[in-house]
Amino acid sequence: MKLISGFSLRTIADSRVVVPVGETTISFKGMITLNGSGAFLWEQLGTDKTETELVLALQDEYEIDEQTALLDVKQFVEVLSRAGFLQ
Amino acid sequence: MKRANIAGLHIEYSMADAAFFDYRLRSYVSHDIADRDLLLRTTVHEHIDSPHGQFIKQIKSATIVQAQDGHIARSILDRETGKIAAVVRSKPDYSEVEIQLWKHRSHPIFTLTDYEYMYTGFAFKDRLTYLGGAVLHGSAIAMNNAGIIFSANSGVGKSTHANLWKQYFKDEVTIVNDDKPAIRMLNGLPYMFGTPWSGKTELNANVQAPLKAIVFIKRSDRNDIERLNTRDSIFALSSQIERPYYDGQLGAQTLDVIEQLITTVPVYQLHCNISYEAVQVVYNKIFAEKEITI
Repeated sequence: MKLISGFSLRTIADSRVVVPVGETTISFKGMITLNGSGAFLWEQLGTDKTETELVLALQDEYEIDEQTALLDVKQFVEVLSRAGFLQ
Repeated sequence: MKRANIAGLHIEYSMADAAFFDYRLRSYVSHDIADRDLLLRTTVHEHIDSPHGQFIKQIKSATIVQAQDGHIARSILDRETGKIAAVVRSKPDYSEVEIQLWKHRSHPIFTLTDYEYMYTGFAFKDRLTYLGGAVLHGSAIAMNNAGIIFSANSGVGKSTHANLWKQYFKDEVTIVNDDKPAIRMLNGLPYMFGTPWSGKTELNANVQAPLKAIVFIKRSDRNDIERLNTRDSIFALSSQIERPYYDGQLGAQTLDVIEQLITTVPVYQLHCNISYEAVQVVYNKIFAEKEITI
């Protein structure tokens, strides 16, 4: 899975925000705010990743156990999937 | 070719409705032989052929292709007839924009000149954005060499509020642009500029002023103002600084401007009704050292 194109992730004054750009501005009016791990996973999903790859990357980055990482990844992917942001 | 200086951009232009634009741009005429920032040309045609080039994308009724010389062409279909109603051909950096309009495009509200006004406004905005500026949807005033932009969705009352300032302070206030003022960073500081693209009204002035505040308006029974936190400021600004559907990279550049604005200009949320008290509340907040009572 990976993110659909048409979003730009920026850190502006310590806030991590994602805004639609290009064609996506027609279908999505709004902005997404992410915490640190959310921004990390968002960046990971810029290229095709499996759930396992995301869990391993999150564990490496934040030094957390597999169960916690798996729960975080599942929740994040579920939110993105429901919003139609994944392909 | 005629010349204008708009928000510091040297523009050479040739418009189809010359009389309309001569009038609209009369305050911006320039005789400077400076380096050109934008070449803008509009022509009207009996028929417009599909632009040749490599297909890039179809977005609703717009087809985007890239020609061999690198120019990007965006053709827009007329919904009624299915014919090409307009083609906007530009260099990738938007330094040269040629707009072709179909003579027989009909619309219940918009005339051909209205379309010319809109497309030339987009061309100016795109070039300004490319050069690091932005156009903010709002009504802008200047007072004591300080610029304030009142922003909101259409119909909320930003023009009404700006007019209250004009009525109250009279000659002390200039309405700089009633719809889409330009913003540019000069030596790291934000400045607000008038442009001739001011929406439905002709309210604009060739004026520049340091940008002192951006105020987002919400209708309310009460009048109060608060400074927005960073996240809410970004949300409000990103919703009123248009990102073009046809160029994602250019849209991403507007975020650079937002980042600069967040760190240099206070952004407020104003809840207000139509009254001088609303003006007072904003004035006292922005020019804190000079309280007024009404």
